[in-house]
Amino acid sequence: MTIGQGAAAQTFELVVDTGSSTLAVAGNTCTTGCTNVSPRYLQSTHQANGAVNTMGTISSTYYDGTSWNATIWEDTVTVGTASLPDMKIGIITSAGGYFRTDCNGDQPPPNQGIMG
Amino acid sequence: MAYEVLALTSASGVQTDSFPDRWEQVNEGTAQGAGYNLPGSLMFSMLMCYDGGKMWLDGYDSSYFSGVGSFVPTTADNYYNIDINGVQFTDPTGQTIYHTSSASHADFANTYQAVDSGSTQMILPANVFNDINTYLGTVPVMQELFGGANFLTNGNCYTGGGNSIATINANLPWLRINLDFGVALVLPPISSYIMQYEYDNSTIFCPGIASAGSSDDTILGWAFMNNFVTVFDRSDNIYPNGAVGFAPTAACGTGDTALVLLPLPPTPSATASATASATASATASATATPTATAPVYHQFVTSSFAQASVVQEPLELDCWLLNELGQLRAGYLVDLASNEQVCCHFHGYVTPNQQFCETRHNPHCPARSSRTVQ
Repeated sequence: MTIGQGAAAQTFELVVDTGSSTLAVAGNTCTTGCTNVSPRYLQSTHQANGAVNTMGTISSTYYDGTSWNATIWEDTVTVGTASLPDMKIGIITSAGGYFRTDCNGDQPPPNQGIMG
Repeated sequence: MAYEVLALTSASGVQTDSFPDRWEQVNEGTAQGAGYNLPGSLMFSMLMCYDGGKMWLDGYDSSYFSGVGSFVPTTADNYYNIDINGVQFTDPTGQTIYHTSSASHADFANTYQAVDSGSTQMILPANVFNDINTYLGTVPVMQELFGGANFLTNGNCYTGGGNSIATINANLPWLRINLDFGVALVLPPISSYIMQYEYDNSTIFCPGIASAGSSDDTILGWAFMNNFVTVFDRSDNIYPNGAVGFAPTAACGTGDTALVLLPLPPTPSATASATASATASATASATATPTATAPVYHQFVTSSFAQASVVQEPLELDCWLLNELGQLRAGYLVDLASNEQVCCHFHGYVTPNQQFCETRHNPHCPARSSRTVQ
């Protein structure tokens, strides 16, 4: 999925989750629990290209106990050839075990967020 | 896990907000057009294999189906929850029942059963899980190959003794999950309670079911979904609160494929048949004796969805729509006098001699329970 407008657009790999409600992706200001997550949503770059930080917050905790906290942004989301403007997106500011590495810890997490 | 997006044709009708309380505001599209490509249908589909998968927006691709599928209603507007009425162990046809003590709707009452692509295993209510675990411990092949009595709880994975998946599936009970309206899903052992993984270039088998513990909520995760192309319908075209469709698939290459069993029509009562036969033989009249006719279900419609198959019943039923998986399971009742759609949802079936429909709860529909057309 691609998020962002114009030159700011970034492509992310997301878990498609029919068991939750929210679209969220790791932000570049995430300081806890986002180690090795790449790419991350470049907040100031997107803001300069039309994204809006609503300042609202949201958090999710999943069945396995992992969680994240996020700030709600509005930006353009593109899947294939379909684009949706002003989609609400949780930009993850901290994560509790949500982003996982493999057993050796030498590979980055396979996803940068979730599409609920 | 990377998903391939196919059949993406239109943004119209696609949710424009990621929060479920806004779903009500989404314009509801109408399924139309050909086959799997249904712009604005509010439908998306997923195929989840153990290594990758596919996702389709605005429809599904029936060329990935390996057999008959069906929709069941979702129980609430904002999650993909369905009703489970029981779990059984059967043979691969789903008919010969080996173990029934888990087969109770009460075990699933007052909890939710979610189709959840974000989970790995199947999570079942604790008492159902315990019953399944105990039963599997008594199955000789489980004892021989999968660690005996506590395969689902001991945290171990097994090599399966070098046996092929087909051999293992042929020697273990299959898992049957009963859903609404008589629809049942019959899952092979490997790809339900046993999950196949590739690890260090070899195949290992791990538990596919876990206990919900105190929550008792059911989650149908990847261990369940990798048997099917799962179709999520968020419109009210099929059922008022939306629907989830299951069509078996062989696309994951995991061996045996699951079955989707469709409801059977009611057979004529023994009393009615006996009376009719007695009457017929006594009077030697030409009165037809009611016979139970095997149902002939419509097959998948892959090239002409819409009203390609219309069954005329001129008094009250103007058109019967096939649902998106090709069964006569949802559609419209039209009042021919006013030409108005008087009911929006029903399920039923068609045999050569009999049609049956039952309307579903919909505030826009007049009270109407069931109807049999001879």
